[in-house]
Formats: sequence, structure tokens, C-alpha cells
Amino acid sequence: MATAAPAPTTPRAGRRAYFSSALRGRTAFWTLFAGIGGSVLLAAAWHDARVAVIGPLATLALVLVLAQRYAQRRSELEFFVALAPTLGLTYLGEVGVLGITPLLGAGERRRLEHALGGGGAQLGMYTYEVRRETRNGEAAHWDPYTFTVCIMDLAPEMPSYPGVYVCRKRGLLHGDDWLRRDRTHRVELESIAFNERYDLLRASDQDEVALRELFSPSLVDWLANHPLAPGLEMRAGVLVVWLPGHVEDAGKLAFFLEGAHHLAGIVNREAQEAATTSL
Amino acid sequence: MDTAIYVLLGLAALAVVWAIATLNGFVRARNQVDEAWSGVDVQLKRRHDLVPNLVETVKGYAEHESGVLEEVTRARAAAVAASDSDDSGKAEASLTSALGGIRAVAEQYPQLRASDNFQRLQAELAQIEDEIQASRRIYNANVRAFNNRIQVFPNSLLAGAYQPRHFFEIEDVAERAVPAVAF
Repeated sequence: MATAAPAPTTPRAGRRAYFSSALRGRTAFWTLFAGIGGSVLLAAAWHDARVAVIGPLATLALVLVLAQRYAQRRSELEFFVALAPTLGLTYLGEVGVLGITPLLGAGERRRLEHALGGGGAQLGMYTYEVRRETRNGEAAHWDPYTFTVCIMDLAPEMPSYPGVYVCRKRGLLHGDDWLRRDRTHRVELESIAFNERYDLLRASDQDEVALRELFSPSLVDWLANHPLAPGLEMRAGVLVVWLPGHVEDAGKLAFFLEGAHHLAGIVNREAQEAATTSL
Repeated sequence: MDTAIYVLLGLAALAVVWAIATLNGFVRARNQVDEAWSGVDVQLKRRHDLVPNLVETVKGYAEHESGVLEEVTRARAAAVAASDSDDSGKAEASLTSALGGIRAVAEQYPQLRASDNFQRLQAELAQIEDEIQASRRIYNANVRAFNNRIQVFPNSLLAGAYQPRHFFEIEDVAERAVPAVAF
């Protein structure tokens, strides 16, 4: 009796197979045929032997690059489509992003790829790009910044937090600081381990007392000791939990999703207690 | 000769800068230890404030268990009166043990166990005890960082005025006892 193949734990598992199949395919064959044949004909027409050498090499390089990109895209798609049901989610593909929090609104171009949705959460590979201009004003290039994000809606009837941001401490070469565009104030908590790992920032209209009540000892201890050191942003009833880079490991993604649900549970509970106390 | 003087002056300036930064680091670490202790204190007070409600609820259903209830009340009074972290650790351990007696009493009174008020208080107590453990971990981590800072060389050369702090331990003697297993 045939058994189903186990779901891949990373996209790398299927990449080699897709790469091999791309190189053995008809597209690669005809591209190479056209490239090599064309190079030889051009070399004969121009009486230049270099064209007969460079042309085929360039064609081969192009075929390898295209095959590698194809293999990467297909293996990623296969990985995330197989991962979704194991996490109790549905594969959504590429979806639009509302810039509710500073991270989701960063940069001039944004995309959320391989989104997995369900149970009030959306997990995906997020990229924003910043346009860097040269001194004379011409657009030089786009710098991409990648994250793995889990976007969750907090309980709608609960009081929302105007702006709470927890970022990992940045080094000297930290890349883009998407929070510098917002007016934020730094808050130090009682835990040395937390303060060494994170910067806690609040928006100008965020009540600091409410923020300190939210960051109970159990939440502070959890964040200070969590192996993944996730960052988080909270604004307008939305919680975004994030990791730097695109995480493509099934175990790590499952752990990350579990952590995001844990954080959402804590926030909802603290907001509920605050609402009960204020009545 | 001039070069040697400038080098010595530069080294002296570096030493002064280092000394100022190190002493300020001691002050910051000490203040964070104190702040973490006040966080522990807040959680302990929440537990102390819950105990009278719990005692009254149990009394309503189990008047004859006065021994257990008096022990809880005494342990609570001792915990409230505790002054430093060492006394507090011992007193809180006694209170934890006494509260275990209430759980044992509840096992014998199904009506008490089923009471909404009792269940709510038990859930609140469990949540507070989680927060106490977390705040204790934060405090002890801060104490460790402070003690390391004042004891490592060369910081120890400047740390004469600072004493190492003690960790906050709530020892439950019953938990350390090896359970007897007989088949």
C-alpha cells in the first residue's frame, strides 16, 4: 500500500529535485540549443571566436539562474502548502497588507507572501522595500527588509493600545529603523535581561501606566527568555509578532505561531482585566 | 619626554572615564535590583490581600476546620510583617504550605469545591502565584547581574561600598522531600 510522502520540514528538501527537473525540461533544452546555436552562427558571421565561447557560457549561466529561481519558488510553494494544514491554517498565497502598525506600513513597497490564515491569525513572509536615492535625486536601488510575521486581531470589545512596540536591541549595522518615523518614547522595565534584549517603545498617546500593567512579570520573563526573541507591535486592536528574516523551518514556524497565540492570549486577558477594573 | 607625559595623561583620562562608567553601572544595576524587588513585593501583597477572602469562603462551608484556617491566618500575618528578602522567603514558604492545607480541606467538602466564589479565588490565587514565580525569576536574574558586576575584576577594585545581594528563595520543604513509592 502506497503511503503519502511526509511534508517537507524546509523548502530546501525539494529544491534539488525541482532544480534537476528544470534542467532536464524542454525549456532548458531549447534555450541552450538556441543560445549555443545562435552564438556559433554569430561567431561565424562576425568572424569572432570569442562570441562562440562567451555566448554558450552566458546561455548556460542564464539557464542555471532561471532553473534555480524556478526550483526555489516551487519548493517554497510546496513547503508552505504542505505546512498550512499541519498548523491548522489555510494557504492563502500572496495577500495585501494594511499598514496598521509601523512595521506593516514601512517602506515604499510591501508584500506578504506565502500567507497562511485561520483562527484569527495570519502568518506569512513579509518584505518591505525602501527606495534609496543617490545625491542627485535619481533612484539608485531598492533595499529589501524581510520578516516573518504573525498578524492577529485582538478581541474587538477590549480597549486597544494606541502604540506599543517591542524591538530587539539593534547593533551598529542594524539596517532600516522603521520606527524612527513615529514619535515614540523609550520605557525601561524592571528586568535587566529584558532591557538588554529589547527596546520597549510606546507611542506618544499610549498611557504608560496601562503599558506597565500589560507587561506583567510573567510576560516580561517570557519575552526575556524566549529562544526566538520575537518582536511585537500593537496598535488599533492589531497585534503583530515578528522575527527578522524569512523563517523556512516547519518546527520554528510552529513554535513561533504558538508564541504569537500565547502573546495574544496575555494581551486579551490584561485588556479584559483593565476593562473590568475601570468599570 | 613630552610624548610620555601625554601618553600618561591619556591613560589617566581613560581610567577616570572607565571608573565613572563602572560606578554608574553599579548604581543602575542596584536600582534595577530594588525595582525588581518592589515588583515581587507587589505580587506578594496581592496574595496577602486574597487570603482573608479565601479564609472567609472556606469558613462558610467548613467551620470545623478552624485549625487550618488559623494556621493560614498566622502565616499571612508573618508574611506581611517580614522585612527583608530572607525573612520574606521563609514566611512566604510557610504561607504557601498553609494554603496547601486549604486545598486539602476543600477536597473533603464537595460543596465548597463547587462554590463559584471558591473556584474564582483559587483561579486568582494560581494566577498570582505564577506572577510571583515570574517576578522572583526577574529579581534573581537582576541580583545575579548585579553580583557579577561588582565581583568581576577589575570592577571589584571599585565595588568596596557595594555588598552582594541575596537571592529570593521560597523553599517549600514538602516539595524537597523524596516521595515514598511502594508497589
